[in-house]
Amino acid sequence: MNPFLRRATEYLRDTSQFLQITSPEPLSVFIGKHERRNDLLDVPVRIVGSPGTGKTMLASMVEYRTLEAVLLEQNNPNYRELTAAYNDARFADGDVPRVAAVRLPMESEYRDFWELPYEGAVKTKLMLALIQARAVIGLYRNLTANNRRDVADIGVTTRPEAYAQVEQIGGTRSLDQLSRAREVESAVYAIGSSLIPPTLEDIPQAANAPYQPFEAIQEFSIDWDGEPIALRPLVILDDVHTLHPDQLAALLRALARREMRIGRWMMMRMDSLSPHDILRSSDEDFGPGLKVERDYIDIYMQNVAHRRIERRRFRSMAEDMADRYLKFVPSLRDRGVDSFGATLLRRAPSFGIVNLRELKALINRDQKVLEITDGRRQQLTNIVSEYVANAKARDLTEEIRLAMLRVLMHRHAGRVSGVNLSLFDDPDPVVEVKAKPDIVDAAKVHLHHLFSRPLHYGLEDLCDASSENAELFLQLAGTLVDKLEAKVIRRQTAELTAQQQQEVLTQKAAEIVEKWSFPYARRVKSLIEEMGRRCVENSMLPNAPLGGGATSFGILEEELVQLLRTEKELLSVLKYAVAYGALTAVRNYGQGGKKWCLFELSGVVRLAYGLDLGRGSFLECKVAEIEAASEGVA
Amino acid sequence: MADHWSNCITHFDEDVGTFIAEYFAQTDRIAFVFGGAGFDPRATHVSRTLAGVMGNRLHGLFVREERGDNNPVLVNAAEANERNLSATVPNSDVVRVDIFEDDKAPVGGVRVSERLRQLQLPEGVTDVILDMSALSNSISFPAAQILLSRVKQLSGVSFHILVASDPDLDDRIVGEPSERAQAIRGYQRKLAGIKNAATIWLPHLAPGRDRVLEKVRSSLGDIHKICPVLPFPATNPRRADDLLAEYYQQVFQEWGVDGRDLLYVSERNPLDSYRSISTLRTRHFKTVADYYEPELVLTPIGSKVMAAGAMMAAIRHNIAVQYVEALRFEVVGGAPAVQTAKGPQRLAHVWLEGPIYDGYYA
Repeated sequence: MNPFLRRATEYLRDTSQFLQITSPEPLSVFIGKHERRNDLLDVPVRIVGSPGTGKTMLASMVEYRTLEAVLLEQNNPNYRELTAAYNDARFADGDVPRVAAVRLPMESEYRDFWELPYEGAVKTKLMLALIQARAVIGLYRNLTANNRRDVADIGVTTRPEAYAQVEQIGGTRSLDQLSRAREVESAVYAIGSSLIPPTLEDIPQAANAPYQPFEAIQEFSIDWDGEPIALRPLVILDDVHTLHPDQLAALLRALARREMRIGRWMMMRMDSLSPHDILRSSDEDFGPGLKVERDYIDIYMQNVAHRRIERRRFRSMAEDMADRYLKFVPSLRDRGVDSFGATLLRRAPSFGIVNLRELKALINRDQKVLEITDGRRQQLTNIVSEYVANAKARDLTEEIRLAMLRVLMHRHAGRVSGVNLSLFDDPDPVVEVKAKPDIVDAAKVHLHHLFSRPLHYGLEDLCDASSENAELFLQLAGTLVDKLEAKVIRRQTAELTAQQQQEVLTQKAAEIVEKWSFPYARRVKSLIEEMGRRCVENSMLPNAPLGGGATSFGILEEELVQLLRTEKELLSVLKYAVAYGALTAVRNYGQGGKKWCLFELSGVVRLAYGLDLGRGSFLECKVAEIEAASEGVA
Repeated sequence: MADHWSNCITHFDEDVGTFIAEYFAQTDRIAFVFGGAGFDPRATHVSRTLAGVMGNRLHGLFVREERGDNNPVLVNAAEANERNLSATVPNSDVVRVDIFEDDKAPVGGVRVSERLRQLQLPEGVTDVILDMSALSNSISFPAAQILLSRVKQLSGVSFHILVASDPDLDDRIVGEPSERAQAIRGYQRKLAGIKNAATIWLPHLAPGRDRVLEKVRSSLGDIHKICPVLPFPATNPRRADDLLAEYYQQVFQEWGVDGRDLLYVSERNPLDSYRSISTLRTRHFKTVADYYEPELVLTPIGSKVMAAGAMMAAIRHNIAVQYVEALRFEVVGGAPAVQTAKGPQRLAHVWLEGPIYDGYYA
């Protein structure tokens, strides 16, 4: 079985296996290095990310059962990094746990409460009671999961001023609290799941009575190496986007109460955010009375503000993760393959004599059409040679140099096209053409489309194509591992050439795009198809005006702001495209004295369309054009 | 309860017609049929056959599932079926049931339950019939539970399940899956106990449903074992092999299914599916109950007959059913043909409850 193709959450059952594949990087980056890390247990926190960015992994990593398992195994060298990450994130102090966290998956049954035939307040109350009851049960289950103590051994400190709430939750003894939580859970669940719900008057007392453990419980105390220690409870509600928007707003309002001492995190996909939030248009607050940063904190798992750092961070995390997964592929492990990066050859692909001859013929034809003299061609060749001699990159092979020359020839021709020519003139342009990294990018893209020379290969490209999405990375890497395994079984070297990598990745990327099934996927696909087509068209312009070619569409900020004031369906299309990683929105991108909102094609789309993985090159566009493209009428 | 279900009376194909002609022709029979009024060409077959025998003694309630974004060809087909049903069964209503709320949450099960809660069965009713042929599982499954409980409250009333089945057509009707997997209303998973759960998931394999199954798989979390359900014996004896070839990567590579865990059930007889699931449940519970909380989760997609058997098992043993609602449907290879006089390929009848079983335990 290919371990890359299993969802990471499937490893959760076995803690030690889960820990072997888990990279502690997200915990350090998103929690440990957060500027308000000291407040993350005091106010509600919304952790927002696209599917596959590792929200559930993060939540599972900090659950108490995992934390305890790691801290008890300090002799295991594999756990040291994780322990350091726990310390960074204030979940542990040395090898002593400080937080008791539980992850509650918010399955659709919570959404079902919204369909009950009661008033909104009653429905919210029932949902909150179920969440709190399950949180209490989950906390006790976590604290006893490793068989180090019984429920009766756990002490509970309640808020001194919460007399009434303490009575509601069954008192101060852990066993009584657990029993009361079970009673509430059972009574409320029966209402939510019933085919024919009871009338308001018939709701049983166990479900109807006030129940607010989040306001009553302050700390747990347990024995740790013979010493009593205090643990701060944390409840992580995973996938809260499954709730109805009104339900979610009510939940956040309820969790923002200042009396609560239990940490409250909400993991959510971008779906449940408004287009304003997703497009990061402003610090729009979540409903009346709640202010972001004051009443709750937002953590985005894909940080658009620091993208270069983010890309570097993701590369190191992905490499680490891939190496961990590789240990679970027996055929590769037995051959001593322990570095995934090393199997993806970065060597320049072989171009072939026939292709080279054709490329030279193409350049000769272009030279003739552009009326470039042999002397000028030699000068441009020298510019390329000089650049190559000083460049750090080692893959500037002959075909790249020739393709660069072709771009320079076209640029030169463009620059002298306005100058009056006589028959034998070879005028100098006002500004001489230069060889730059973006010409190299253009050369690679041109060769990819004209001669099928691989464009995407090596671990860095694979990471960049994953758009900082761990699950996507594993999917792409998984298909490469399949190919690698096949080679090993055939007794070939455990390496994939650039050509092999490109073939596998292009096919897989097209398959992923084809299988998109999120809301508005059809319209998003139409939009992507048109954007991809126009970006390829731009990338193939022989003078490469945008270097490696356009990979985004840019709308003027003022036009986007106007769009955001409307109720147009296009906003939903863009929202889901961004939320599910088809596009990335970059706001207030300055170029040409104007501010733009860029909609960048995601890495997987670029793989499918053979586009450069660089950032920032965009085609100017109007909202109406995007709308038409999404409707398939562009 | 219901120990006769493993051996209850069934009829297939031509015998169903004979049974209807003989049994429902009795003038003291008053029947109520609950079925679908959608685009599916099988929507009218059962009601038409019943009405031909019973005339005004047949009453009905038909559900038109509203999904918002519909293919005009399918909408036209649904309109035609609705008109036909209203004409064939004059004592009937057609209700439109919204399958999604404004936030795209599937609510069809809730809505149909609300409607059935208000249902007045006809005076002197003797038979309640669930026609699953053209209903989504999210509608027919909750309806089965509610209708069955109503029947049990009355004395002397029988409950029948009828399915006009066409496995090829079932394969061709492909839904665009909605975002979330969830339990069918009334078939939720039970509460987590003190012990860890040992869950066996039984997904039915059907062509082109890999995304649906992946969503369900992701929603279930920790699974002890996956036992894919395949149709065999089947009209096309290669169908199970074809499905395994289609799902090879997903089933064996991604889910890590052991080849010995495949479950083969008849495509023709719902009782085979019912018995297989019941046996599996009994053995699983017996094996792990001392150490884990045993649990089964079903995901019936594709064949309606197999779904009927799964539904019986889910009702009988309180088994959870997890599914993904379809945002919209399309029919691979074009719109379904209008029902021919010959009717659907297969018919199945299960006489699930009724006074006929009064002597079963004697």
